[in-house]
Amino acid sequence: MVKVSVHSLFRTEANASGVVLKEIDGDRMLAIIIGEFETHVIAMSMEAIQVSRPLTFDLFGNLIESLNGLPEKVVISEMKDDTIYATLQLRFRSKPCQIDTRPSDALALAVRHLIPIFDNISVF
Amino acid sequence: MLDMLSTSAFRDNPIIPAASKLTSVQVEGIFETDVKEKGVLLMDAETGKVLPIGIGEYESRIIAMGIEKMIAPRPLTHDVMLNTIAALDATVRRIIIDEAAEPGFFYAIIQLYRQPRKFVIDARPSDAIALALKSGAPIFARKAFMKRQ
Repeated sequence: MVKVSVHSLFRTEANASGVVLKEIDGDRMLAIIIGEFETHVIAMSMEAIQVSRPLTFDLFGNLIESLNGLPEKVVISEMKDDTIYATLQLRFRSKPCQIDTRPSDALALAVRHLIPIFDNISVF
Repeated sequence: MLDMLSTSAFRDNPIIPAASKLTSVQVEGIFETDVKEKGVLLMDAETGKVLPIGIGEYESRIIAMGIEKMIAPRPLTHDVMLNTIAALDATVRRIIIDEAAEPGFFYAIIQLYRQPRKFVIDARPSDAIALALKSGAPIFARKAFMKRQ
């Protein structure tokens, strides 16, 4: 499992959009195709755009914080049948809990709230 | 820890309106205005009065999926939020459309419960309504907002 950060966002000629993750202690990268809206949300999160009302991932972070959950990391965890899976890992009452998510939600939450991101699927 | 980056978008301590000022509503459907803006229509089944709320295009799609109880192959954003709330031992007790920001636009609160206390979370109506539809939590709105069709 390697620690990564969101390096950039892209759109292909066929109009598929996605996100590039880059290893923090190296140059290896992982590209993931995600939806156009999800890409937009990550872009807004990365630019720390201030909005007048809480966006979905502001709300998500606030829910976790209000309920005393401590986000520890998000993990791009596995690839099965061409689908990439991710988990949000929290600590609550000093116990770990794992929430199944799509990579896009995990990354949008992570970049908005500075949660570390780990990649567990790249075959380097 | 969560950073404080985005907290300024939240209202400070939104207050739950008194029960006598609220009425129970259902999501009647999604509508589109003449200028192609989307909205969600809430209705008080007892009086037939309605409350139209302007929301974004993407938000209208999320709510439409919630109305139709569509199950996606992978959890969508609001499913993940509900799973997270459950993992943190809490439930969505109700949501309230509680204040008007400007004509057609409103503030909402999500009321969570974990024994023995309530949590009040500020939200946009679209996120609150999506969570209510997916969790089955009741939706309330201020009676004063409701109008005849």
